[in-house]
Amino acid sequence: MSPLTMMLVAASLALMMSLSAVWMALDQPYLDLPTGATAVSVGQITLTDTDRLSEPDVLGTYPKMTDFFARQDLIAAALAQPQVSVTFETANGAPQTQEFTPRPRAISDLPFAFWFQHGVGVLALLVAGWVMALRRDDWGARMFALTGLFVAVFAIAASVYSTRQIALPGTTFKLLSQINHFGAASFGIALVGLFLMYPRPMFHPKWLLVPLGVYGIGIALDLLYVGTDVWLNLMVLTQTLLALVFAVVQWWRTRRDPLNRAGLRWFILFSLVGVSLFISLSVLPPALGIAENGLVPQAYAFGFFNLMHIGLALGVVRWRVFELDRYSYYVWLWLAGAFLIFAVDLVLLGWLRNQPWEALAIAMVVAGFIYFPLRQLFLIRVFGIKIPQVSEQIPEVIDVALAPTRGLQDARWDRLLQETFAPAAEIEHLQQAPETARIDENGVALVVPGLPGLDGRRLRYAAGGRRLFNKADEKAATSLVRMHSVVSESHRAYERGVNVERDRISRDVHDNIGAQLLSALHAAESSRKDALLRDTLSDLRQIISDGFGSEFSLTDVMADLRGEMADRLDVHDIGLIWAADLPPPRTGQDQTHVPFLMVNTLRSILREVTSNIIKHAKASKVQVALLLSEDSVTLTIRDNGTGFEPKTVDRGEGLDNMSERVKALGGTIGFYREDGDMVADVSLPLDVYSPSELEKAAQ
Amino acid sequence: MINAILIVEDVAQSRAFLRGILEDLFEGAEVVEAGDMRNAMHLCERKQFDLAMIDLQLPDGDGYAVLRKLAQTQTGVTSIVTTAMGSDSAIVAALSAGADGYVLKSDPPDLIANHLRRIPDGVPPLSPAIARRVMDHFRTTGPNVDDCAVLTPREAEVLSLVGRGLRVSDVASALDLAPSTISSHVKAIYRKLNISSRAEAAYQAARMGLLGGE
Repeated sequence: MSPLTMMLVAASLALMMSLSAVWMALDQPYLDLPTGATAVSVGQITLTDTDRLSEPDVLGTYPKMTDFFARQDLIAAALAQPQVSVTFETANGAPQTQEFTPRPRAISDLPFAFWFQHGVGVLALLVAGWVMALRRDDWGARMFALTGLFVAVFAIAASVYSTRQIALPGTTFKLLSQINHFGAASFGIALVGLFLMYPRPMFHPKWLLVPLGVYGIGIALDLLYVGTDVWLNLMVLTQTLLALVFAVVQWWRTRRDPLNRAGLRWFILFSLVGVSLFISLSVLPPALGIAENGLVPQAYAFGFFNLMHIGLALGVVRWRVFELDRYSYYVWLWLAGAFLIFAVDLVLLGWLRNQPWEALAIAMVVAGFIYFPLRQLFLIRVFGIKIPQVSEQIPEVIDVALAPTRGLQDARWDRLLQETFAPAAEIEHLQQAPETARIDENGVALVVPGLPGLDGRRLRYAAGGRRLFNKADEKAATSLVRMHSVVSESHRAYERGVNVERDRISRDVHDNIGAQLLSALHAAESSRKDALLRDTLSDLRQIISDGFGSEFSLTDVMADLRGEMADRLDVHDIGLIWAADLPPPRTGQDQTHVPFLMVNTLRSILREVTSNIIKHAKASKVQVALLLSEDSVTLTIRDNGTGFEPKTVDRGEGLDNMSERVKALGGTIGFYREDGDMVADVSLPLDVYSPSELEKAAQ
Repeated sequence: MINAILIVEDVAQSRAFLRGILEDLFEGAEVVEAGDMRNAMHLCERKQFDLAMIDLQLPDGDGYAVLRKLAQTQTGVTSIVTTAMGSDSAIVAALSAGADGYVLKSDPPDLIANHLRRIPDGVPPLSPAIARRVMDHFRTTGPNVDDCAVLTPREAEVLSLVGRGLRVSDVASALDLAPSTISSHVKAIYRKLNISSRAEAAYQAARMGLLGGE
């Protein structure tokens, strides 16, 4: 049962109780006495003050009550005659006797006190339904709801007899009085139970059976009129005292729980003050013989019980009594909406009944075109339920997953859940959450599993309590959770990727730049130092332009190397022959890409060789060819200078450095003389890995 | 004739390095140094220079601002951007912003001197990598550019050959033209790069409503 349904049930129960009371009240004969007149005698029967008691309980004993009902029966029988002679007194004195023709009592004859008691009962029952709707698993709330139910029982039963005109038939009166007693005693049991269970249960709820059993026997004795003194008075007294004792104990128990204590104080104040006011102003004075009737007529004294309900309503706002939140008031709003529509329908119907036929036709048109569409709109606005649309929430899910702090993630996740279940009235954080989303508390709650870094959630009151959670909600929650995990997983993957990339960059810096700077540092000749530093700066430029990860088109690399070499040789008037403008012998070379390490090595070798030619060779012409084969790149540099003998030459750091670099890539380098030219021949395999990549692969 | 030279460079050693090269090349020329953008701007307002060497990365700003200042305050200056590690695209951006050439400070001094020596003759340096970037620039420039900023087929051919690693002399012999003709093509390419960039900037600005109202 969704909370709203529960409220509607409570409302219909109240309506049924009220209607049957009205029916019983109207089922009696009625005399048109002047206003303010008091009947003194009916037929032969002279009325006593006792006969005029609004509440026979004040008589105190069963025999007296039985006599009272017997006299009521007599008077009622006299009133049931077609003609009855009644003597009555008006406020200004002299008794008059008149013949009356009793007529059926009409609704307009019912006094305000009648409706007041109904009001008390209906309000109590609605508040009971409200609390029950929202907190049906809480024993304190259950007990509170029962007090409300029984207030309605005793108040509405009493409304019939306490506002009778002169008398009721004895059996009817006795029945109503018994219903009243039953309601009052049961109210007392519930009140004791309430303070046993609220704010925190003192005992296991099964111990509630003890007061139920004891007072159940009391109720039985009371209904059967066993003994002399009215059992009810004893029961009400002891119940009030017990409730007071338990309230004090609860008060003591909440000493370390300020919120509950504040709520309890408030609630105790209103409940006990209400009950006490009723007892002291209405029950005690006649019981102690201070006054014949209560200081406040019982009909109005019942209003004191509503203090409990008003207190609760206010306590909810301030201290979340029964853990109810402000959202809980929405339920009232919807109930009022439903009632409003019902009332407007009734008024319209009544009005239409009195219209002539022509007007009726117009009215039908008006109703058809204006009233019904408006009514429908209102219904949809107030009762329309938003089906959770998860697909629209993707940006919000991303916001949750990417929120920078845990607190922000929590807040955004709560807001998203709130909005999705429009609005979920309550969100509780769970340390222990299930693996999957599931419905709980018979649909009142939805449990959402925890997310990485976030607690699970228990949502209560879908659409603010207008409906129960269903399979669609379960699915929506599952989708939200899945979406969240996809987003946060990809976010993590992205961050992992960033880290991997960062690792790679630092490795590359280490392998290339670091190694070159180190060799520059350790180079003995200053010209070598310069050369190595220049190489390093060129590498850095290349990295800044293209990044480490880039692959370089061999054609572009060749163009750059050629341009640089030509420039350098040009300064020294050495000619360069490098067939740059001719397409390479192999097709597809344009598409051949080589890694950074290859570019770096080729450039370094070409620079070294160029430097050597400029410094030592006295050449006038250099010929270069860069060729690509299936699995390697071959660079051949041929100059017409003096040349050197590779075995005997003072190798210096330059030649060694070249050899090392080539070897590191798994290539070969050779220097030889051919046809009077000096030739440097370098071959590098195409599948080049950096040393650390090889190291990594070996692990 | 180069009489007054401005060096804008924040690293003192690099300033000395460039000054050495320039004093050798242009004997008798006055060399003025600025260590940051603010000083450079100040000098631009007080003095006319024939040659300006501008580092792209300055402690208080970038070289582009100095390039713009030079364009506003100087007549007949040759602006050369100098960089050690500036990316190719940064260099192309400088050329678009009105630089007449660029020098890599990491190059050997004789190579730098060789490049600078050609400047009074009006042959700007252009490496293959930069030439390819410039080609990309013209390829991706919007259709809004007027005719005077579109490369002629000959210019495109020159650019493409330079991009493939040929030097001006090589291009001349490949195309059977005089080297001076190729030089003027390269200068035209530089000029159009500047014009097209400005047109592009104006177009973009207009599109964003910065020039609205007229």
